[in-house]
Amino acid sequence: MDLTIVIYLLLAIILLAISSFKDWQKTRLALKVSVKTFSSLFPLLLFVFVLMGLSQAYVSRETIVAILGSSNALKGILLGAAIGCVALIAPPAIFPVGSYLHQNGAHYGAVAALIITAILIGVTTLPVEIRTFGWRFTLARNVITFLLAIVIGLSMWRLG
Amino acid sequence: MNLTKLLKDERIVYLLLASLIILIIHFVNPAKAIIVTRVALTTLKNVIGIIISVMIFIGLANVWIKPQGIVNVLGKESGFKGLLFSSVIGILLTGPLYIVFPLLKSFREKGARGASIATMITAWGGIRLPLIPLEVHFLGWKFFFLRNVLLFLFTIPVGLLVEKTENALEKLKEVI
Repeated sequence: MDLTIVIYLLLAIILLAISSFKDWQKTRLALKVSVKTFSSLFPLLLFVFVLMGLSQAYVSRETIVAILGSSNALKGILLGAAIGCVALIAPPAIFPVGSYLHQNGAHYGAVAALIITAILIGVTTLPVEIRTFGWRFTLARNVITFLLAIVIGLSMWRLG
Repeated sequence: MNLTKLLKDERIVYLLLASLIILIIHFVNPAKAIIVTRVALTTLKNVIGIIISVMIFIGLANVWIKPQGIVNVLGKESGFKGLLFSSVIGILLTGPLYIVFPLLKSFREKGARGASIATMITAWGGIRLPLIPLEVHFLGWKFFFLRNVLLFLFTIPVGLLVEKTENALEKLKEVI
């Protein structure tokens, strides 16, 4: 196992120990939340990993390079940001997708733009946001967040 | 077994779809099915430790970080200090959307400005503390650091811009 993973697990165990020492009831509740989150997230992650395998087997590296590659940084960032808006992927699962795209030729700027719109703009959450904060707020926030994704993408594309 | 009830469970649907994909490819091209399965299982094996620790972080953050108290203080802070405070609270907020949105709504009803709400949403959605191990593992320290620092720096400008745009849209309505 990777050393960093051992460190994360150790940190989790230490925090759990401190937590249960301070308040056992709260810690029990925390573990319940952990198990619930895990059980709802695990099938999705498995599905995403199968999709990653699927694109490994069928989508050529050339295709990803052509769409999100660095030959045209701005185009890659715009497409990345657009894909992120409609990607119906829970935040924890977006990082493996980003890593997969980068390993297959997408540049970091496009990946960053995709991740930012994926976690901050969701077509499925728009109705909830409109109902909660009104359509003017929602329109303003989502358009400006899209621009933010492009700005951050542009600042990161030289990273590789 | 009630099939429609079963299919309402998102988890069952994902598992069914995953198996269905592998099954179909197996019939079309068995060699590719092996590739797909291998990629999926290797990725899973590589991250299962991280996923478990992240789940523990999420659980602990959920019971120990209760920002409602801090949020009440925010109403008294105004100007740049208040916005900086909003950004920090946003980072500390770790709940899902259906918990965070109503919380922010109640806060808005108590008089928080639009910039403050938009700043908090940007910081909450964009910087996810319990997910740090996942982002670092998959994209590396450099990517993680740059993306999160840049996002943090932009939380307040985004908040202010959203507020300005929202007000402008409001005015536009009066004109029309």
